[in-house]
Amino acid sequence: MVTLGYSTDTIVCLLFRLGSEEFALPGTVVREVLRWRDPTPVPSAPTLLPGIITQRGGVLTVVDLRRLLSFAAPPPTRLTRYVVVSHDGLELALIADAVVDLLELPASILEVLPPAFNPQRAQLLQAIANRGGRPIALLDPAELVTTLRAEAQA
Amino acid sequence: MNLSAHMLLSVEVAGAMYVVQREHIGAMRGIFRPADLEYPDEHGRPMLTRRLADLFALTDSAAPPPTRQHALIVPTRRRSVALLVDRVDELDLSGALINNIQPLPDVLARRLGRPWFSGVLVWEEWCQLVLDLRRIAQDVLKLPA
Repeated sequence: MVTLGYSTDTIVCLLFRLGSEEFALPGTVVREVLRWRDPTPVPSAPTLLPGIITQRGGVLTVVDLRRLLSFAAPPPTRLTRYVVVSHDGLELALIADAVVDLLELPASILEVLPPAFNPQRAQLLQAIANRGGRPIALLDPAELVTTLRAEAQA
Repeated sequence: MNLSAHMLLSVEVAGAMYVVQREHIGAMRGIFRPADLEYPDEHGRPMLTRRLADLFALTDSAAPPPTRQHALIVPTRRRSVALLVDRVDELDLSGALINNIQPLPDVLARRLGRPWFSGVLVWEEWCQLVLDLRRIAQDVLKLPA
């Protein structure tokens, strides 16, 4: 078991898929899930940030997590969604290949990442959980925001 | 307030739509043939001409080559720059929509190889980038010929 600083025994998470792998984000940072619509592309932006969308009168930066986590980035399908997250003053629309479920993860099943885990992915993860024989990687929203801001300043 | 100074135009570049502020444009010309580009600007200076599609590295493979283009002539202190687009339409004559322009999110704005956008026009459920034509014209002057 790994200690993540959550005050409860369970963590409410949004479970989503990138490629064939399942990831989770703490429900505290998830604002909503949106159906896919083509983002407005911004010329000369990196492929990690394929554009912007508007939601409720605001402008959200679209983040292709698959690029950040070294996954293939196939074209959108009817299952593709935006997961809108808000953390530390930043609002982002993360591309997910599919949104699976909202679930409660018992803190007791969260484990530290194995040493051999892909280091590029490990940097953005808090822990890993085993649910019914399938691993779920718990993303660290603070680290995601830090990474995006750091890359923006580079 | 002079509302017409904030008039917004919609321009099409290789199938993509953008917004420009009319006050950034000194003049507009229809371009039918290469010779149309050889006119000097209103001060008699030779114009530097660039296609916005090339500057943005945009191609619209589905579209036939345009038979007519529009030159947005942007004056600078040194010389005028003619930026070619495929289509120009009036978007907002009153200037009221300028209040709907929001800045690009900082995390994105800092990552742009060419920071040529002054904001995002948000209107109901759609948004379009607002081109900073003055900045583009200044940068075009610095680009190699």
